[in-house]
Amino acid sequence: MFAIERQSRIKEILLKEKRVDVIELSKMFSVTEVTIRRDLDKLAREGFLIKTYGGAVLNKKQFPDLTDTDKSSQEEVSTEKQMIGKIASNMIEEGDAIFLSPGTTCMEIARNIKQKRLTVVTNDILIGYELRDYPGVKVIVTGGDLMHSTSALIGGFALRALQDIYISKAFIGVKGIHFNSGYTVDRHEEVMILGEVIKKSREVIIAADYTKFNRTAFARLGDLRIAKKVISNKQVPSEYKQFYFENNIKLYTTFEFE
Amino acid sequence: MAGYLEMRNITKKFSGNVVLDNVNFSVDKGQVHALIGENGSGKTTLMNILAGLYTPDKGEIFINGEKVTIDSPIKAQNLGISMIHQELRVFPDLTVAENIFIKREPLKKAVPLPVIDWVEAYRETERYLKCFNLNINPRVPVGYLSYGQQRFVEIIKAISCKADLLIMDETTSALTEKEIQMLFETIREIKKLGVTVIYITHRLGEVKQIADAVTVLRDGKVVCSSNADKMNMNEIVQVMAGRKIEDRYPKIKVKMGGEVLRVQNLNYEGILHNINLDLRKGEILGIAGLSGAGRKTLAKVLFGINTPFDGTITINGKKFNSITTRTAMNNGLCYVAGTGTEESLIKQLSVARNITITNLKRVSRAGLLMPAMEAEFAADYLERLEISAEHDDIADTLSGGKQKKVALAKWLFNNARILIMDEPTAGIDIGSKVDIYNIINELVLSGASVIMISSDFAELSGMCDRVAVMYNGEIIKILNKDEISSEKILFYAAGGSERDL
Repeated sequence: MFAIERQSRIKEILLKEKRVDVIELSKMFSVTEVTIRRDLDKLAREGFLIKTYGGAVLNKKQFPDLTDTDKSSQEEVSTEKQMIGKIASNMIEEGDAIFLSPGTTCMEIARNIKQKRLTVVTNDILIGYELRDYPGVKVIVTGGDLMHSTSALIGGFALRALQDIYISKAFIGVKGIHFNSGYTVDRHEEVMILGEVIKKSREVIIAADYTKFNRTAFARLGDLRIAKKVISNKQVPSEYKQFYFENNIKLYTTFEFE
Repeated sequence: MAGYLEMRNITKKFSGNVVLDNVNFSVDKGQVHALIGENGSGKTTLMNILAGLYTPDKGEIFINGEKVTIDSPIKAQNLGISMIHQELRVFPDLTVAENIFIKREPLKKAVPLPVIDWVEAYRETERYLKCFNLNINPRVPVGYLSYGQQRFVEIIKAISCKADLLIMDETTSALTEKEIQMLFETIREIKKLGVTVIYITHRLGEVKQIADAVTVLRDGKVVCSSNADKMNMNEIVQVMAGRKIEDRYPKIKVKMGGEVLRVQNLNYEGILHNINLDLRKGEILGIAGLSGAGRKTLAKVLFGINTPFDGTITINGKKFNSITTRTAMNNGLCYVAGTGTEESLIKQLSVARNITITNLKRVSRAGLLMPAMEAEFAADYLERLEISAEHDDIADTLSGGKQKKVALAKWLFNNARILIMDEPTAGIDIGSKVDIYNIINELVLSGASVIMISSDFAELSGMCDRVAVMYNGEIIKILNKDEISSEKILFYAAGGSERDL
């Protein structure tokens, strides 16, 4: 393959994936990492990309139609969430009855448990929908009032669905984690549902990516000791790592190797 | 006569860490007093204070009711205190007699000038050697003697000082059973002469045999002190271990694969005896033991540093009767040495150089090292392992936690699949500690296997799938996941056996 061909392929991949990895590319094209780096240097000079450690990202300034920053930052976080999903799936055993709270983090957990045999209770219609095709997964969606412009179910009907059931592991996504304000979510109606879930669960596991630390959302779920396990990323601030360890809370963080 | 030695409210800190916290310790005259505790509980520090090697930050020492200041080893010697240290302290090139009489050689009486009476020195040495039934020529340099014999040279030296108080710090580790019995015979003899002995040990069996009184230290505090006959093994283990929190380690359940490592009938240099072990893909196997049990030696045999050995080591189905570090590395093995041991990192080199050293081919082209590639790989690993440092930082300038992670990074760079980790979290901050546990998780999730050597028994209980407990160069017990606890590990590590239960 000629250099120019390879470079245009790299451009295509960049447009699609927004980021590339030197090692991956060198394997894909069977050329040395140095060659790939030279290609990336050239594309960087053209202003097409910005070099990063071990790879490059698309230069968004050059592509105004793609510069939806919200979207790209969401995407960046989503690899962190994917890794959280993987760790969580390792905690789930056959025959468990788990709860998944609304949100993209728990959605990632749902995506990683499709081959298991278990019961999933959720008040997120999208999570329920995601799991529709897997015979081993029994899905219970609570019902309730659909929270405006979200996929979360709240209110009296949702609460009623939680009566008389018991959960072995509740995975709860939160919006803020802070020493002073504890775990927080966006709305107090959610707290009512989650509070009930916590009461009904043998084990509560907080699943939240690192961006949630040192932040406070509107409604308080409880202090940092309500869960004995927390799943997040390696970037969790050190003082929180220490706090959890000293308070006998297991903090699972994700690391990514080649 | 009671209260021969008294240490009151002794406190000692090392760079902010409280190693001894208001310790009160008293010993009666003519007693054999056992001082026991886990690794790092403060036993040796307390004795080093008594021997004048350290000065306490706070506290007082009384001998025969009189307050004394011991600010140098000479001062201790003048007070009749003599210490036999944990590690051998002999001059290998000097003869047995020269070692024993160093700095206090007998002088010729008939001559007015100070001339050493070597005839007397050798005669005296010979007399001592006979007492111990040691068949050693006093004119042989000590370096030629066996470990056990060198130990006895030290013991003779200490006794011949006519000490009133003899401190023995783990003197029996690495001695044979016969030598231990000989030592005990000696202790009983000198006790009759009114000499007081403080005996530091890990081995509870020895406490029963030799001690009149026992003091247990835990985390720099005295947790119990009483007559030896009043305590049984189980009680001692319980007070030694205390209540440990094992339920805060982020252990992940991993589906294990096939066997990746098997050790059969391994013997090494009389230090390791008949070791049998196996390790599966995705497994975390703990190796516990008190210092001197042979854990590190085992690790170094597996990694081809200590060689040759007897027995077989099978790595991924390939059988080896001898191993070099090269073959170990080529078969995916690595030894992540403890930091501060000078074995883990080359302290004067940059982080990048340290990381890439395990596989220079990966950062070379046409036989030339590419510094830019080194830097780039290093930066990548620093990010992946969450190490806040630059690739060109000198390794020595990093904190302990960061150094540990760099030591790990260098082996990940060589794609190690079987990681032998020596004290992976000792002496580092809690944040890094939690990181290391999660890095280990990620490794086993990706199909690597880990052998974790640790003195932190709670950590072993929390993270390991199985724990092999070593004692005196042997694996005396392998605990399965459902039976692991700090107390159980300590029980076996201190030489407990099933019949003691």
